[in-house]
Amino acid sequence: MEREINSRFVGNEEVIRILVLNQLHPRSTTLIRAPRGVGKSTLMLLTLRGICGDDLVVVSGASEVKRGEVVGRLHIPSLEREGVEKVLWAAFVKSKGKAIDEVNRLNPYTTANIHHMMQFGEVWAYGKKAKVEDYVLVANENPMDATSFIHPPPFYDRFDVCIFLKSLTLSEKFRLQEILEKYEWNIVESMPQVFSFEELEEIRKEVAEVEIDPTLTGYINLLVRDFQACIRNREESEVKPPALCEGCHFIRDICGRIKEPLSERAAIALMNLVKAYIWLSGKCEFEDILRMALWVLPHRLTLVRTRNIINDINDLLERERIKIAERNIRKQWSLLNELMKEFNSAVYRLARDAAVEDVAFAEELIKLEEKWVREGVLKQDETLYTQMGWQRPRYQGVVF
Amino acid sequence: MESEKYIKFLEKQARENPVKIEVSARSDSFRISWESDEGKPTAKGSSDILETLYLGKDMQETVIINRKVAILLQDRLRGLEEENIRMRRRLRLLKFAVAFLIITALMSIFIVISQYPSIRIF
Repeated sequence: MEREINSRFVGNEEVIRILVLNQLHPRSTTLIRAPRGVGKSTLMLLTLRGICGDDLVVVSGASEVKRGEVVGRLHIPSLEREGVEKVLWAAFVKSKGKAIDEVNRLNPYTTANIHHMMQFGEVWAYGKKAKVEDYVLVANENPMDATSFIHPPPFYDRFDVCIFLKSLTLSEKFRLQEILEKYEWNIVESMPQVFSFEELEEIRKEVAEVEIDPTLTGYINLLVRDFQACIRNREESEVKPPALCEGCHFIRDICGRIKEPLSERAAIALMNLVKAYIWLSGKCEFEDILRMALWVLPHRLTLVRTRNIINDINDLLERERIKIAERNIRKQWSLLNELMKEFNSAVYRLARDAAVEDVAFAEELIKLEEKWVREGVLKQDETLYTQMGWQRPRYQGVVF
Repeated sequence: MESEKYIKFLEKQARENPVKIEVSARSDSFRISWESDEGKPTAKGSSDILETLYLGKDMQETVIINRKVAILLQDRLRGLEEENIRMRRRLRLLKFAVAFLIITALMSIFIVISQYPSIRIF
């Protein structure tokens, strides 16, 4: 599949690898972002033709799409003759391959229907419900376009990955012209169906059964937590970074650069990619997770200051790599492992030293402290969360 | 109740980056060592400043220290300086106490000798 796409689509090899990997779990959703004329629609159609052949429907956000065309419409003869409201479900609902061209131009009503389908795997029209079977959904948009509507962040969060395409270099332009001539200016039509949808479903089942090593699961969860955690509870705070971070001990950490944090879907998307990567390559390293995370994060978070989202996230992932290495040097998980078994004052002192360097670790230590305070092993005023003023949300002593 | 996978993650990390905790037979104190039994470096010395400080290993020609470790060492040094000042205060106090005890002992001997002239030292 990757070879067939690469033979028709010039450049952007890394994103094509991610695009293919992302199709290996049920109800895969992919968003392609690029400036105009870089090949968003071509790549979208190549992918869908490679998997679904002709069983694909393209909804174009640029045209005036009505709900009836995307979800379903009333069967007028049934209504007139029998007075029965029968719904004719749209081809978009029934097809295996679903394409949305220029999703940022889609009207809010249609977007809400597609959002519901991605969330619950079903569609509603005229009080009737239809279950949507497994599918492949690929959408594209040009974020620089003057769009008619701004879609809510939860809608974008439903896309597993968001890949960015770049314009072609000089030599790549020559290659593109050769490819266009070779396929008589019809690249999409020349794309064969690489495997049937049934074969894809079999692959998806096998990928779902892949076991991930606890270390890799831990790294994925740590990565996502580092992009969420805030000792000042940013999620419930009315004041957001950078104002919220004034005077914070962790101001120079990853958390200080994030305005709106990741959702838990980021971890799920990364897990799916890691499973697919192991299924294809046999193994997966922490470096591979960082490379894949670059395409899982951009559409899910808002940074305090964005110059170039890909470069900014690359920078944060580089910090994450350093953080993981420092955690290993401090051997903090070993300390936590010991403390989970029983309280030990000497180990606790070392763990406290580690906690002032790491929010995610501090949170876990604070949870243990609360348990020790309840058990009478530790006094309240000796705890890290009292001394540093870090607290988890609580009401009348009950932690939520 | 913690997730089984979370426990497994911690246990695996503990195996890969072990800490040794040895309970002292004489007191309640512990000795914590970051030394790993597995994968010990073959080089004679270590380039990690923490290993040379905490594990007593010889230093290699080049020793690496990053900012976080430097801050850690700075903190530890500050703690030791404070401890040092405290100990010096105690030492001074003890010196006075020893001097006082010596003077008291000498005076006691002098009084005893003057009371009993029959006692001869030699």
